Amino acid sequence: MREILSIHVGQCGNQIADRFWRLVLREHGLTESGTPKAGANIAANANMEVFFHKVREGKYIPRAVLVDLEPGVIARIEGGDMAQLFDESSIVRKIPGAANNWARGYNVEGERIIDQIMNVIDAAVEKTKSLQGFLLTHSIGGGSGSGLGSLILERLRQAYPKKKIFTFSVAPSPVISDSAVEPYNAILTLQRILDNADAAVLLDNEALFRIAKAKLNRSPNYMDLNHIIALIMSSVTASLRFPGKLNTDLGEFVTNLVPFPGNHFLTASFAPMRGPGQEGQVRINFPDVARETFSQDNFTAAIDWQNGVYLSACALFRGDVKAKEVEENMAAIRKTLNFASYVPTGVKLGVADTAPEGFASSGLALVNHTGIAAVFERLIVNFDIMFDNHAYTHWYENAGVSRDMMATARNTIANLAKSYRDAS
Amino acid sequence: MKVNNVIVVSIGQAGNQIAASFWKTICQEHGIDPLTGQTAQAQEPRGNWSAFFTRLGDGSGGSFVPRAVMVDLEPSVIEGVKDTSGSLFNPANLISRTEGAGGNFAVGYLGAGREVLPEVMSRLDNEIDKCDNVGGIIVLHATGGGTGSGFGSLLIESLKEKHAEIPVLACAVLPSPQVSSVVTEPYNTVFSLHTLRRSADACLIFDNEALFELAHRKWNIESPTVDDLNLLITEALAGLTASMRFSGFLTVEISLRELLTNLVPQPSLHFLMCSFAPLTPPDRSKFEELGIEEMIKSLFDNGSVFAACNPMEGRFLSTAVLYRGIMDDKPQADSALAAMREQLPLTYWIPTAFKIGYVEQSGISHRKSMVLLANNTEIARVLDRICANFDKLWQRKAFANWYLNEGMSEEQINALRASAQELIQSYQVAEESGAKAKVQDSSGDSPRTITDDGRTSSMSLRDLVDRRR
Repeated sequence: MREILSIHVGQCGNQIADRFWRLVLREHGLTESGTPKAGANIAANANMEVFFHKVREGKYIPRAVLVDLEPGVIARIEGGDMAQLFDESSIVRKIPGAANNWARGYNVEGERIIDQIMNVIDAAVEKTKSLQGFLLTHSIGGGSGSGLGSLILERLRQAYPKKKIFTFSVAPSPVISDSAVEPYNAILTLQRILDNADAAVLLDNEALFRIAKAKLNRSPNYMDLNHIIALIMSSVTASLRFPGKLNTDLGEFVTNLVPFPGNHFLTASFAPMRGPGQEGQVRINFPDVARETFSQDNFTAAIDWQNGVYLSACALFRGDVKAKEVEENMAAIRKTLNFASYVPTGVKLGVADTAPEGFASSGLALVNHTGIAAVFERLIVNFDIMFDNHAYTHWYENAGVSRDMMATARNTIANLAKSYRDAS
Repeated sequence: MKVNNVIVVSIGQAGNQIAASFWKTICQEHGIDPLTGQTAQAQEPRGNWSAFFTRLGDGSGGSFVPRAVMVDLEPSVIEGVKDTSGSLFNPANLISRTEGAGGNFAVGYLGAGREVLPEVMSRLDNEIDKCDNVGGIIVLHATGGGTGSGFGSLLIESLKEKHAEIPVLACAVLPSPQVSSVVTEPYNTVFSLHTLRRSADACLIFDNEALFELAHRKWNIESPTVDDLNLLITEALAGLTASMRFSGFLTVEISLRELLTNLVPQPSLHFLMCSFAPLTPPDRSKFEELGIEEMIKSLFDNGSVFAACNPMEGRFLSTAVLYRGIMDDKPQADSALAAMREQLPLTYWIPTAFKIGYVEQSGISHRKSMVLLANNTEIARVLDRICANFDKLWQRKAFANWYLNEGMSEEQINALRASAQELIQSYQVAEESGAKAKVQDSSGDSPRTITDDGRTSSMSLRDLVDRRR
């Protein structure tokens, strides 16, 4: 069995965990306590070991590690309807928080608990037969998810050099900012994602908000945004968890999506977009699902579509879809996508039989587009203005991150942006 | 659940009166009886009570004790607190002396203050020992009187010397002739500014000049008393600590350290101002609720800031808005705040400093309320006013003998005055440098490449400071 271990770090990372595990539980016919729902046919679903550890007959525990430097979000998960779900020993929560400061998450607070976290991760890995990799959810603008998340990424790569590491990274939005020092935190984290992860799906709250608003016909809340992320995460792994005709795993995603080392920053799209509980049973025909999946408006990061090209793309369709139908429709869509001239192939396709609960069929696109450079460039513009004026840098210096380290991270990400622009 | 713990030290008459009102309010918010420290039917208090309280005993006899240390060099206010707060506070933490500081910074800083310091530090250490993690220390004091200014400075310096790691937020009430008649207030304030500038991690200004006007105009009080002004201050303090005291699914918990990370762009630029909305008189708030947009508009209005200045005409270095109450209109608040941000005179070299916090738990007097914390260059105007009054006195050495007699030298006094001027200047420099036209941002059509050599060049603040010297 090719198991996946999910690691959720920081306030945002754990809020995503809350939505994600709810969704996965439903897909596998489990209750919020990890026991089979009445009438659910667990036996027919042999692949649920990918995400769950079966402790005994009728009791499943998520392969998940929850980490935060602030206790609030995890405490609410533990106190809510999923109180019986997670293994207490796989939860690490500490005070006093990273105070929005990457350097505190990475150095001051991170150093105190990284060994404990790695022990918990090792213990979770020991419960797998053939681990294929890790999913890490966090935000890169805060302090815990960004700083401690960076430290975990580094240690994870050291300890498991051959395993795939996928991050789902919530990037600062170009419009709404959560903290003054987001550009610093984000650039310092992106450098660690660049060096240690195999692929990173960038999600920004602004894009998620826009998508949710357009599709839900009401003002979205953070739960809606995290629900979109959860739908994307569950679809990325669906073809491993459910039988299907075209299978993809994390390794195959990476091989197909990353044309040059380091150019592994992806954006994603899920269709048809519906809010939690609003999936409805409206029958949407497959060509519409496919079209929405590749609609530019539907991607989760603020990509510069005009000045960039596709380097690669994967699509995974779930539910009541026929492989032939998929291939025909995607061949047509492929023609509309502006691919780099040197990429001859099409869109890598996967199909899984089971749709997310409530949907008849769904589509997921994971794409590598050079317009992602715009996300980095925006951060660098703000980083430079602040850095050149010594704004906020004392907080980092006080916590052991020198201006040189910050400048190095900045130049590394500037070169990354340039490599994307050059690849166009 | 372990959370960051905050200790509140209140000093002098104003500091302790504010503290008494603050503790009463947050006791009510947490469901703790402000006279006994107990809860109804021995329930668990609301929210993360351990942020500001310790628990004494358990079961029905258990009570919750504020993490408070109260100090005064004269007895009357502390006696008053003892008389009116029942068994809420630990009596060992209510420290007073008999002589008072006579409205003289030097007595609080050099004389009687030194004598009481060991006892105060020992009570503070005792409180620190009881914490899971010290999230910060809030110092409440007024800079006009002798104890608040002198002993306040001495304590902040001693605290930071001993516990450099613990963030200290000084909440300093600035004097106004409207409210008080202590003639030496400008001296005391200027002297304490030096410590607030050098030792405190941040200083939140409550300017009685502005508070008097607010109580008069917004609360329709003919001639407001300090009690009225202290109620305004309490509203703001309760609002800004709410994100340290409560959690909830949508609540964004913000520690004191996190607030400071966002609000202090450079170590020397750490003087904050605040405002509160709605400024409806508390007894009418139930009947006259403001809409979200109105509330935000009022929050940023020059006329509702707790400092006598016009922030909309200065530059915002950084901003935090803390919203508390019913969350139905959170998305509406988000977008209204984003729109407000567009209208603010921001500092071009700090493009992203706009922190928003949410707390689901309402305050006592309003169903929905907001606190604005701003690092704004107009604070220079407030400090300038104090310094001008100082200069009038000091030119004639009026009342200077009181300070010289207590061991301060003319040289020292001149140096302290110069320190205040440097503070004013650093804000003026920030205002000038912040005014630079916004760097062309990403609206361009062509892709931009930003590489090592193609960096946006800009005048740095450091350069400007150097040039001025």
